[in-house]
Amino acid sequence: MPHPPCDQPVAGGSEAAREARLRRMLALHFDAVWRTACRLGATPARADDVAQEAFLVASRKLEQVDPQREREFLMGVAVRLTANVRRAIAARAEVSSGCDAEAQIDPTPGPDELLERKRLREVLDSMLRSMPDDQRDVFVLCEIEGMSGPEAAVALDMPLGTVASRLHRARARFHALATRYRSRCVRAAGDAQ
Amino acid sequence: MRLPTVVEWGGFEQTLLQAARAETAPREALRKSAAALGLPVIGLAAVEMSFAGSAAQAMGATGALATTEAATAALASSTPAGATALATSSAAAGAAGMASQPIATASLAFLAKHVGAGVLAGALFAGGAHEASKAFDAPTSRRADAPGHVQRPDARSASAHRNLPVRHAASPPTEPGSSAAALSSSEPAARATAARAPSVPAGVTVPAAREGADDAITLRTDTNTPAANVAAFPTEPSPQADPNTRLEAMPEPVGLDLERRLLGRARRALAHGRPLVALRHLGLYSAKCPGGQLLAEANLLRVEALLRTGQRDKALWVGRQEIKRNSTRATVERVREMFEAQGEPADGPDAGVSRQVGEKE
Repeated sequence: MPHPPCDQPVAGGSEAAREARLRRMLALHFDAVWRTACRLGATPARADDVAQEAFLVASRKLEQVDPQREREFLMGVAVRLTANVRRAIAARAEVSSGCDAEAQIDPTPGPDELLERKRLREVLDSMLRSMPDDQRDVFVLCEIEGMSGPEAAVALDMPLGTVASRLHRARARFHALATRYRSRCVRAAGDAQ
Repeated sequence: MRLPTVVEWGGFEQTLLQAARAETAPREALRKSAAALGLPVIGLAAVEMSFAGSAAQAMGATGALATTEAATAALASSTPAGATALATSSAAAGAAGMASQPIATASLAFLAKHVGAGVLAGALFAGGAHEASKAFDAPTSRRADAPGHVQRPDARSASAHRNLPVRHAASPPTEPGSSAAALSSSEPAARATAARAPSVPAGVTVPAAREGADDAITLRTDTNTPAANVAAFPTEPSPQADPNTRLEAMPEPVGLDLERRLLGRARRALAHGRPLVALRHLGLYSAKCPGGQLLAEANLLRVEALLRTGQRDKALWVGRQEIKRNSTRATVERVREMFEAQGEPADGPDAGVSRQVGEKE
């Protein structure tokens, strides 16, 4: 639900400075926020909404956002908004979510087709879907968006130790899933020959 | 608590992660968000410019050139020649780095406020502006040597590829590991990506198809184009790899072509007895073509796929939704046939609907 743009000037700053800051935030972080929403389970159309909403929240709370922590703030909002999206999807029991995610991967295409990045993302998304949400959040922020542990801890508002343990488990799970998928591809390629 | 910051993933895992990191948001979504934030639509150009400046700030580049050039570009941006100057100037603004960022931002605000009037004035005084832009040719050539400068093919790609490691189309193919340098003008995640990009394992032959990907990425203007150079990513060697296949050179289907392609895949998967694969393609269809022209066909295929996977309740629900949405005799008959073919009661999906259709017809 889009909110009307906030017209209140930032305390201690002019409207032009506020606009400039928002523009800079958009330019620097919009892709990452959108990407994070996608990896966390939002469809591209919903990722648009999530990203827009995240920046609207940032716009409303601009004076409270530490300029050095803009990315953490936006990512944290995006993670929480995407969690809401996931819950809505589960509640609606969308048709496309009815099948086992991993079973939907077609292992037969060869690695040459894997160069299609969209397909790679689909494979990755299917693996991410099989992770628990808490591990998935940390994994996406740290491994895909390149955030450090402390940054992810700020974004997710949780202790660093929790982030570390979840990241460790998520990495192990991701490695196992990738190994299993790769072996299925090799097997399928062998069967085809 | 100490976190291991970098994990050396295997080639396949790394490839998956690289593909995800390379994805960019549609520019349309960015425009909508900018509009929702109350930023002028025209300010998108300023967003792009400020991105260039911010990226260079992150790079730590130095220089004093950008200040005057951002203002120059603002003045020249009302003509096509000015647009080119704008693209070049945004890169140069990046080269100026941290020191000139506030001044460049002020120039951007000026641009956002006055470029609308500039467009009108530019239409009237295009010739004069063109001459003015010529006068800046010498500084432009100087900018080309500035650190952090990237050559932009045109103004359109300047906005569409702001995350791309831009290379000139005529430049020779580079070594796989060299994408790290090309990525240096992108955002931090991309830099981290480049830093972590492993080299190709010894003995692995890189398919020739990926050598052609560089140019294809440079030339494409699809806003969904991912940013990274896939050619640099190590992948598993494949016995099935066809070195003559230039995947990146193939234009992605859009609109009806995309719908046909996805539904064709789903139909073939069903014909080969793979309903789960068909459902996957149908899921893709739903995601990529919401409200598509072939939605009725997609829903019918989905009913069939769901029935074949034993998900009768979902098939029933989808069938009913489709009949409600498109209550023609043909639809009803086809859904009924599907259920009958799977041994389901014939009045399952269209109970109470057939009569309405009959009355309507």
